Amino acid sequence: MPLVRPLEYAEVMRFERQAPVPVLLSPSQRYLLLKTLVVEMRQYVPSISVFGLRLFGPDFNVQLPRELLASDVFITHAPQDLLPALLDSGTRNVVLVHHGLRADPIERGENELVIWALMLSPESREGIESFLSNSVVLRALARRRVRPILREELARLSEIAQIAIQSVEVCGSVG
Amino acid sequence: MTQPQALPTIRSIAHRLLEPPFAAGTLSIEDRIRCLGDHICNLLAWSLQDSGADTCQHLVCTTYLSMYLTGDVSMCNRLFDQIEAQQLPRPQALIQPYQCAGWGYALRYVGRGGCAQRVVLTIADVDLHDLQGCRSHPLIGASGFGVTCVLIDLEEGAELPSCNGPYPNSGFSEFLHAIRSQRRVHGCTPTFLPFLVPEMRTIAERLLGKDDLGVDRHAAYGHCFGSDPWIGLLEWLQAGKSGKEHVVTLGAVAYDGYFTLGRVRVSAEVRLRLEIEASEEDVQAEPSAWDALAGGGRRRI
Repeated sequence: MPLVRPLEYAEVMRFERQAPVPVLLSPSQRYLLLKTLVVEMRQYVPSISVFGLRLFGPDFNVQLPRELLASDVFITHAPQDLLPALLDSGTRNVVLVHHGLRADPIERGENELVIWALMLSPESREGIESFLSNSVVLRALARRRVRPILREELARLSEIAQIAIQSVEVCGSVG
Repeated sequence: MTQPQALPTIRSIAHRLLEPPFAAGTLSIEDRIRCLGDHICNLLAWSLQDSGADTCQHLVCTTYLSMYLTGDVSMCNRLFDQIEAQQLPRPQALIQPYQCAGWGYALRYVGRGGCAQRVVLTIADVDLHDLQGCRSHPLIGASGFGVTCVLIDLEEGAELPSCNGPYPNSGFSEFLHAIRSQRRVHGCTPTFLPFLVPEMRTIAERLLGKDDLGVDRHAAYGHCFGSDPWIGLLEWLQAGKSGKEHVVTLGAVAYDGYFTLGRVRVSAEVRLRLEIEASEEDVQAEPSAWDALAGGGRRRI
């Protein structure tokens, strides 16, 4: 972002936030992590019908990988917001991926990664178990937690994720 | 030629030009986002009037909106709350990583189940921070800012835009060749491209011919991100083509090397609204240092 005038520097300083959480990834490493996650989940749970994936802005000059541009992936600022329409349409085997993986000091986040696997068929549940046991991405993450989501909790996914993040005393790292 | 297939049907197109400085004199970023929300609500309300669109799916696409908004869910929720408070459909997504091609990816996602439904796409690109470095780009030329709302009916099994990438060099060549391929399969239809600098427009005309290309309005608007093909279609319809059903092709290219390309059917009763007054009341079109460096500069309608 080329800044030209002094007031533009002042304007951009509005982005600055004090954040105790370190930047652990470059934008391309973040894409690689998410791509690998999607590839692994497709491998272990082939019945997944749609991935809702969080990315909130283009990292200009860093291309999204082909796997994240595929038709079963939809990238949005807050994938949990997709859920009401997905439930209305009766969509099954949904995976929503929220993350706060920081790739720039101006970005918010706690370097958390939250995967919601929802409306699963019995076959998909088995696949999720395999994914949890074998995922290379998950093995690289610190402080993993697995928790069932009850149907009545679907409306408050973000809140549940936030509680889980806050209850972790030391921030996880991504290897 | 293949058998006729259900295509997305365009019910209305509205575009409001919003040249920078956006909401000049408004100090806080929250107030500027509220001002953007007012523009979106206004166009959305017009788009949905008399259309029985209570259950309409709404997605917001952007290339340029600030990370202050797109990277902060609470700030984004304020915008969505503002829209919902006006009894307008709350957006289910704010989509930025697909850049100018976002509307095609949004339509592909919403239509993936093949069910009949009504969709409204808002394409919002305003300069919330008045950054002159974003007024032009060495390859893309001058930027144009504004909000577009498109109301679309998806019939059951409707053909959806193709979404492709990533490709090197912004995927521009692949985009043009995809149009040629589409024409071989479906025949030529009026085709609306991004607004291009003359050098790139020349390439497009050599590959595709001039006859079925919408007028390039880069000299008037600059490159208006994902809105370009919709503005081109809107102006084409306003120039005597409305009142009759048309099948047309629209495409958009993302700077990072993705593109979308799709055929749509324009309803004979399509409603059109183009507002350019917002650009005529201000604007000091003084070139910035960046304009001089980039060879761009602000244009006037």
